[in-house]
Amino acid sequence: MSKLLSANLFRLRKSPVFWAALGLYAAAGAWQPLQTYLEYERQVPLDAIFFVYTMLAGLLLSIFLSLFFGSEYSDGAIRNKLAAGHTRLSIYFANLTTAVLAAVLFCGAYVLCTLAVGIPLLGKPKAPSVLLVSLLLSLLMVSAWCAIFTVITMNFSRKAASAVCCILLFLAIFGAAVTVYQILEAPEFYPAIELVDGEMVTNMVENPAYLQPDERIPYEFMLDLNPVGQAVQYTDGTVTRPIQMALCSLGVFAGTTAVGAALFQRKDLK
Amino acid sequence: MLNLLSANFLRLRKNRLFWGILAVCAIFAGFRVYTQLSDQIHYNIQPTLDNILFTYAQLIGLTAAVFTSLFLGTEYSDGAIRNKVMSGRSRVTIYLAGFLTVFAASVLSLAAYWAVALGFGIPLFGGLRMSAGEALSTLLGILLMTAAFCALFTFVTMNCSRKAATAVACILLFFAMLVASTYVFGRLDAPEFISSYDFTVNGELQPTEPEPNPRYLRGTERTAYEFFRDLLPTGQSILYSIGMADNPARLMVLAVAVFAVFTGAGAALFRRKDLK
Repeated sequence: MSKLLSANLFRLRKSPVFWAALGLYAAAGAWQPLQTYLEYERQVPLDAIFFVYTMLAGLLLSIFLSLFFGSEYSDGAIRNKLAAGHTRLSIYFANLTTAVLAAVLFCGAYVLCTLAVGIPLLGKPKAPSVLLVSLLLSLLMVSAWCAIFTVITMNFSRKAASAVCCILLFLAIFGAAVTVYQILEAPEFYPAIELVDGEMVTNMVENPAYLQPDERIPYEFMLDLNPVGQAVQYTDGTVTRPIQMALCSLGVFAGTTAVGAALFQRKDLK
Repeated sequence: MLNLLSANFLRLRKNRLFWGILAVCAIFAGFRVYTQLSDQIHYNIQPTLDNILFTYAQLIGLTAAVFTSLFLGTEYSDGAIRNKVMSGRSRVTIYLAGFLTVFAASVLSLAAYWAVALGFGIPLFGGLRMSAGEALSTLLGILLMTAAFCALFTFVTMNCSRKAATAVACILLFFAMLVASTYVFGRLDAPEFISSYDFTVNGELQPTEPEPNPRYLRGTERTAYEFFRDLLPTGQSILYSIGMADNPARLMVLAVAVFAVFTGAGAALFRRKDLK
């Protein structure tokens, strides 16, 4: 496996797609605090914009991983690796490890640029320990994304179809997260205007769509299980279930890796 | 050209992605009917056929992006384009035949959506509330908007020989346009005056005095944003899907302009392209 990893990292280093994605993410990391400063000056703390990268990570990885690993099928690299004696599992895990490493590098570039530009403009983070915990959790979330897309890229031999599936899957996961988040964010009361004795009076009325505490638990779990759902919580600074989020990311990572590796073991590589 | 179209339609008939898209459109229409019924049961909102008939306009760009890039992109990877050129077909004819095929596929996906929406919608919700003229005008506008989408994606697909990169580019282009349109709509929707609520001494909520909204667009700026909203096919798709296409003639003219520009430019580039 170390030889496979070494070969993958060599390809990564020479890949224009990798460097383009890295550059793009780093530029986004530098731009976010600059844009915030230009619009709000120092009124918005760095903490509030630190985790925007988590919302974009899924889209970037869906494109990068499908294009980078999709070439392995079209170039015959996977068949060559098998012919050289490597097992299917080691090929799968080498690619997954490379994907996670690339994702960590992307996030690292974004974070470094955000800090380099953000600290002078917006000041130091207000709660660095909270930021650090969320950062570590976000890396687990990003690893979950890698596992999800590796299932597709390793089991679809057509690069274009793989790219389209990864992007559409990201959008479906994004849509699901937004739906669950909106359900959870329904306010308990909302203002309703009534005509009382000829005067317009505003009363707070109970919202029937508001979830009671026991009703919230399954929706909160769905939000934590969804990588974009986690990203929304990091961006909002509303991480209240860190252990559940970590376990969900690990669960998604383990579950999708098990399924993906099992499918790849049986795949007809023609 | 007829031979090319005939060959393309034969491929289309056997294409699993095409039939998959038709199935998705039909299922989506069924889902829209279901959500209308659900709203009636839970919130007592009167469902209408008008609310669901043109919803698919918002998604037609995405299906066109996926289908165009994969269907026409295969022609490069399989060497079909080179074969067509070698058999004596002109490049412009090949380009136009490709565009017409993906346009037809998009129109058929719209028809699949309508078949289910009308099939279930008319018995459940009754006929259309809008006039026949308005419905036909909206339909024509959507078809021209679809042609604009297909022209854009054909431009990208026929001039890039890498199928995967083309697929990614087309989908990202669609989403970039959608994000731009959403931003433009947001700016245009900013109210002229804003007020908030404050608690009175009696503990009641009262609205405060309205103040001018600094983000409200006026004059030339507003005109420019409206033009941009109408020019983007994604902006048009939002207007049609929410029934706010108040100036259909302008939308149609702009859609035709987008179609003409990208088809002309795309065909011109394709004529010069090195097909290796």
